[in-house]
Amino acid sequence: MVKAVQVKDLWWKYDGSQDWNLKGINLEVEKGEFLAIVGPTGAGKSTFCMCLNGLIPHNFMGTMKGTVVVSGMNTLEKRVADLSEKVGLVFEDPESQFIGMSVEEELVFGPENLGFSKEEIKQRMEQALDIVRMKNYLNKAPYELSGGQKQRVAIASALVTCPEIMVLDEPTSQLDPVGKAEVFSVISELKRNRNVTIILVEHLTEEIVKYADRVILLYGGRIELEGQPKDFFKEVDLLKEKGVFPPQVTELGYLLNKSYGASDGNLPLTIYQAYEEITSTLKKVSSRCQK
Amino acid sequence: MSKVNSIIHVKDLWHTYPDGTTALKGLSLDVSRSEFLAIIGQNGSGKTTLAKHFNGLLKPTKGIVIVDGVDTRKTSTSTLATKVGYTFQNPDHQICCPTVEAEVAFGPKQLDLSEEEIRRRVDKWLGMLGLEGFRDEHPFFLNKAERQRVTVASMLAMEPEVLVVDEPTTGMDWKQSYAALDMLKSLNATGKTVIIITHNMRLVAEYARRVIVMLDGLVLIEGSVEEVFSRSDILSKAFLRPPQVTELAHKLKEFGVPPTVLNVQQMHGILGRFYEELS
Amino acid sequence: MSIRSYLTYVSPESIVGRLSPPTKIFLPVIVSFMALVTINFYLNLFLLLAILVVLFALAKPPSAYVKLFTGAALWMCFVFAIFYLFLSGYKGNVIFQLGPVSIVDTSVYMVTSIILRFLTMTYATVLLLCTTNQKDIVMTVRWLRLPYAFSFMLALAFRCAIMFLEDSTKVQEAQRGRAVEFNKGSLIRRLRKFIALLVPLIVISLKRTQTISNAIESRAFSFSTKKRTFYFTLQVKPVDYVIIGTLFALFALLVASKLTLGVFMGYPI
Repeated sequence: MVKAVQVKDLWWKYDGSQDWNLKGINLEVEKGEFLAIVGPTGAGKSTFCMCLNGLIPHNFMGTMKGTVVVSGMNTLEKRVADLSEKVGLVFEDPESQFIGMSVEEELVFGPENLGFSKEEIKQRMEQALDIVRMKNYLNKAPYELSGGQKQRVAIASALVTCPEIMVLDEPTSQLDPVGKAEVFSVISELKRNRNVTIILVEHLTEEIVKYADRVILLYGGRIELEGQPKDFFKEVDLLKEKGVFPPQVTELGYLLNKSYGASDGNLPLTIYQAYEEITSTLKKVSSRCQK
Repeated sequence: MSKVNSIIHVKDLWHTYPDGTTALKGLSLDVSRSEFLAIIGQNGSGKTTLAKHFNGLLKPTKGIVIVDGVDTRKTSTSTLATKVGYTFQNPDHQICCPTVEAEVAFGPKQLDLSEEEIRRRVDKWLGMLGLEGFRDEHPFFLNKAERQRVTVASMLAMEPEVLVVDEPTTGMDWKQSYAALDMLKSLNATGKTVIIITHNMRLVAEYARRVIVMLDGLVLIEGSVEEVFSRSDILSKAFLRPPQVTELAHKLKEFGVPPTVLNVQQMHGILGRFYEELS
Repeated sequence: MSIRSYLTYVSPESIVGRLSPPTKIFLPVIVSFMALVTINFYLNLFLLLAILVVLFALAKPPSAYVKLFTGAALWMCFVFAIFYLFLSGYKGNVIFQLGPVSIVDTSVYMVTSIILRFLTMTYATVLLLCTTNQKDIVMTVRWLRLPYAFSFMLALAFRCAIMFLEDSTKVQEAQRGRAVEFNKGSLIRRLRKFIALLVPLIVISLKRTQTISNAIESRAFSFSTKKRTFYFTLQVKPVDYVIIGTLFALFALLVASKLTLGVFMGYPI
């Protein structure tokens, strides 16, 4: 079966950069998989995201080695315009990526460029707005929208071309808690109901554990750790050293395990799991005390 | 709280913008000298509007704001800049000089200080914020966290008593965020009053001592971090959630875990006492 | 009202507001050009009255706009009056004398014409601002079948202008927080302070250019796209064509008369 994303030995260096920004990345992403990417600032996460829709190498000056194939297309051979139909990319700043004067303009921009028919555009636009829950906002101007709303529009404008892959580069880092919650609920909806491969770059590990099938750690341009969340976040010391903070409950579980050997090998990822584990341990303790 | 001790005294503050929106609706609060205060709340709750009254960028529509003994309605922004330093979320909105040194000297130059005094301040604050190595660098080539330190240094060079830092960690990774807060903590230790406006509940829990939660232009709740974060019912009204470990503590109430747990180390210590019996 | 509202506000429920965008734009623009090329007192007066009737009877301008523009315009008219009456050096029959100061009839004629024309253009601008928004301007450029790049760049320019304005407020606040007082000090000091405003704005705009470029490319934008769909269509009704056609015809007639006849009702066209 064709993978959604196949990255083979990818190296990239911006012109003017002292060192390679991406160093030999090898990654395969299955169709429908939810991949999370974590890492400190400067690790190359945004650079990597831009390699997935062809912005790198076409829009930037630099040197590339290796191959990136998304939805069966080689990014070196196809134009960004063609790749963009299949790969939607949502950036961090809700303000600068909103280029239209209204929500409706924003949404039709992509399909207009791809030559879709008007009926098709209208239909897809309605579907996209439905997913992000902003159906009545067609005529709103950007300055009438909150950050969270603008990001949801950004997600909708990427969805409107029916991409096979959605790449979201720190979509919530500029948002307040309400905005963050809005975007995560859209992400959750995407995962649940749409057959789309999702690649999410995030610092909020507490959210990642809810959605990700797999997590990778990007550090200094390399993938240094990879795995399912329950295995990935066990490496608490390594992650913290590299600037990634696992969920607090995971760190707690790790410390308790280290000090008292309290767990079965798996660390809790959510409050619920932590609660279950701790209460069962405490009950063991109290029953022991009663004896 | 005695007014004598407060470095900022706000009474019945109302603020209405020219377009008609009322951002502050009769707010009152006091900030004590040398405290580490966090103002939290959603966008639109009025936190930034409130903070901009502290250095006179905004003047009250009604009510008064007294900063270090002076009424902000009667004092110019440039005088208040020597009492309250305000750094903005995006350091690029402020950086205007070709070297880090010049950038830090910019503020004192506006105050018409002597060359000697300017040099002394620049040296001092470059040193305190670990920017000595960047002295002759162009600020544009530094990363965001470093540019943030430059704007904080340039604000500190005005030697204000109060630092207001608006969203110091947006767009930063955890390591950078903790480093930024550590810097603010050490400044607080030298006696400066630090006020941070932020959404990051985890950092508030670990660094702030007092918290003010804002909702719709008013103070919803204020108090020590422990008190406020133990009230998740009130926090949820402002659409805020305490840090994960505090929420866990609330759930473990029945086992005697206090709801005032603020970080992982504390929880580890508390549960440790129970777990000791296990091993 | 903020600058942004000038670009985006459209008076609700006004007759002019309901015309199609090209008409709303050509009406004030062509009338302004007509005023520009004419120096005939009667024609100037007619144009001013015409634009005032259209503005106040058919367009419902907000009083804030009217006050602002009228205030500014009257100041300019005062300046014109002083210049043309006393400093222009026109020769003609003296109609007023007070000591060394004299006013000739030619100057009076010129300044009246200039004031009438200037007011016509002022109120035409108010008409344009309160009946159109940015979208109308962009759609008209498209309707004129100018290359897509034009209308796209124009739309982007509007959006960037608004972001630029928002940034400039933030930069001002940031610098005021460092004791920069923009309206105090000698000219040289003020210039330096202005640089403190300009440099961050330029840097932010440049950084933004890269982000915007990434965003538009990621939505399949390319200058060389052959088959582009235009989702928004302009509703141009017969009445609009009639109005635009009439305006162009009148303008052509005016220019032709100016070149051939030269005089109307005793005064040069």
